[in-house]
Amino acid sequence: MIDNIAILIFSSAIVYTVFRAVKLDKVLPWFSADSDQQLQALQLKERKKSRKGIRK
Amino acid sequence: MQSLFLTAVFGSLLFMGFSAAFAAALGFVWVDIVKPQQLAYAILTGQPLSFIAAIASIGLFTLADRKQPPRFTFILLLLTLFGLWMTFTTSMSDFPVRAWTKWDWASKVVIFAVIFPFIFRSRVQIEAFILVFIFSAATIFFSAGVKAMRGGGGYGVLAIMGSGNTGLAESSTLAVVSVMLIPLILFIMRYSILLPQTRLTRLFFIGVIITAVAAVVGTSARTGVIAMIVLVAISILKSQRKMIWFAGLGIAAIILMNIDLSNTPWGARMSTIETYNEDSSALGRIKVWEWTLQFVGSNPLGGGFDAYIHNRIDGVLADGTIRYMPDGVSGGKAFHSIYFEVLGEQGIPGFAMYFLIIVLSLLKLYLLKKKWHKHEGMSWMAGLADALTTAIFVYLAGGAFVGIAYQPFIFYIVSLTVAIDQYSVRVEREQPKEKGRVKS
Repeated sequence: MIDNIAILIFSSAIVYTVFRAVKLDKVLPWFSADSDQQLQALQLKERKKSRKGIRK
Repeated sequence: MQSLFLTAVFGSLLFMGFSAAFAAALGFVWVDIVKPQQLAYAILTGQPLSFIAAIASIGLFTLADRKQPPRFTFILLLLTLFGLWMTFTTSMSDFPVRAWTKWDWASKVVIFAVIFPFIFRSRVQIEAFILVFIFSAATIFFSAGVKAMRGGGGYGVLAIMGSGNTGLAESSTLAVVSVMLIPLILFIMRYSILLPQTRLTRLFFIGVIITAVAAVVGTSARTGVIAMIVLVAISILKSQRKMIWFAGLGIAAIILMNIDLSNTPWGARMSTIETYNEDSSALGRIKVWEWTLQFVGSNPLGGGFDAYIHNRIDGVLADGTIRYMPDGVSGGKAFHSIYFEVLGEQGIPGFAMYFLIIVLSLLKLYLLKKKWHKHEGMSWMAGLADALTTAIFVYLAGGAFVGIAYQPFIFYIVSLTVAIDQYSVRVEREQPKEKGRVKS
C-alpha cells in the first residue's frame, strides 16, 4: 500500500517536472546570468495573457 | 494497475524525449534508480528498460539535440580513462564471469557520467536532472521512511521497495543516499524555477526530508548515522546561526541520554559502534581491509571486479579468528568500503583516477561557489555548488563503510559538477558585449 502510494506520488512528480522542463527549456535562454528575472517576466506575461483571455 | 501506471510513466518520459532529448535521458535516470522492471507485476517485468532508455536518450540526442555541446573537460577525460581502466582490469580478472557481470552495469554508469554533461546543459535541464534524481530516490526512501515511522524499522528487517540486495534496495546504500540528497532538496526548496515556490511545495519537500531521515533511522545502518553526523557538522560549520544548532543538538543529546534506546532495533544496532571489536560484521570488515592492503601490495594493478573473492573469508568470530570458505566453494567477504573496493578492484592507478575525479570535482565546486556567490542572478549556481560539495563529503564519509563506488549516485554528482562548470564558462562567454563580462 505505502509502496504504491510512493510510486504514485513521486512518479507523477517526475512526469510533471519533465513536462514543465521540456516546456520551459524552449522559452528560456539556455545560458543566462539572470534566468530568475527572465522567468519572472515570462510568468508575468503568461498571467497577463490569461487575464485577457478571461475578459474576452 | 501499478504495472500499467509504471508503463505509462516510462512511455511518457520516452515520448517527451521526441520533443526534447533530455526527457529520454531523465527516463534513463528514473529507470536506473527506481528499477520499475523489478517493481511491476506485469508488462515491464524483466524488460531491458535501462537499455531501451539508454538507446533512446543517446539516439535522440545524436539525431536532434547536439547544439552547444560543452568542452571535453579534464574530469570527463579522467572518467573515460577510468572506464577504460575498468575494462582492462576486468579482462585480467581471475573470476571473469563475476567480473564481466559487474562491468556490464558499472561501465554503463561511467559512460553516462561522461554523456550527461552533453545532454544536460541549460539551467532548466540541470534542475530537471536534480529533481528526477531526488524524486526517483524518494520513491524508495519515502516508502521506507513511512514504514519506519509506523514501527517497521530494524537492520535487515525494514521492508525496502525493490528486489535483491542491490541499489537502493540495500539498506546501507539507501541510508547514505538519503542523507546525500538532503542538501540537494534544500537547494531545490530555495532556487527551483521548475516548481512553484509556494507554501505547499515547501511543506512537501520538508515532508520528503523527514521521510529521508526516518528511512536512515529505519534501516538502522551505522553508515547512515555517520553520514548524518557529517551532514550536521558541515551544516554547523556553514551556518551563521551556530548557537541555534548547538542548542538544538544539546536538547537532542539530553533527550537521547534520558531515553533507553537499547530495547529498540535502532538502539541495539547503534550500540555496536562502541563495541565494534566484538561485532563479527564490523570485525569482518577490518579483516577484509587488512587483506586488501596486502593484496594490492602484491597486485598493484588490482584484481578486477569482485576481487574480494580471493580473500575466501566466510566470517570472523568475536575473538578475531577468521573462518574461511570450505574447499570447492567460491566466495569471500565483500569490501564494504568505497576506498577498499576501488583499491582492491582497480589497483593503485584506478584508485588514483577515481579519487582524483572526486577531488577535482570538489575543487571545481569551490571555485564556482567563490565566483558566483555574490552575483544575484547566479546565486543559484553558488547554492548548487554548495549542495553538491556537501553531498560529496557525505558520500566520502558514509561510503567508508559501504561498497557503493560504482553506483550511479556519485557519478551523477560528478556529471552535475561538469554541467554547471560548463554552464558557468558559457555564461561568461556569451554575455552581450555591451554589458561587458560578468563580474564575480
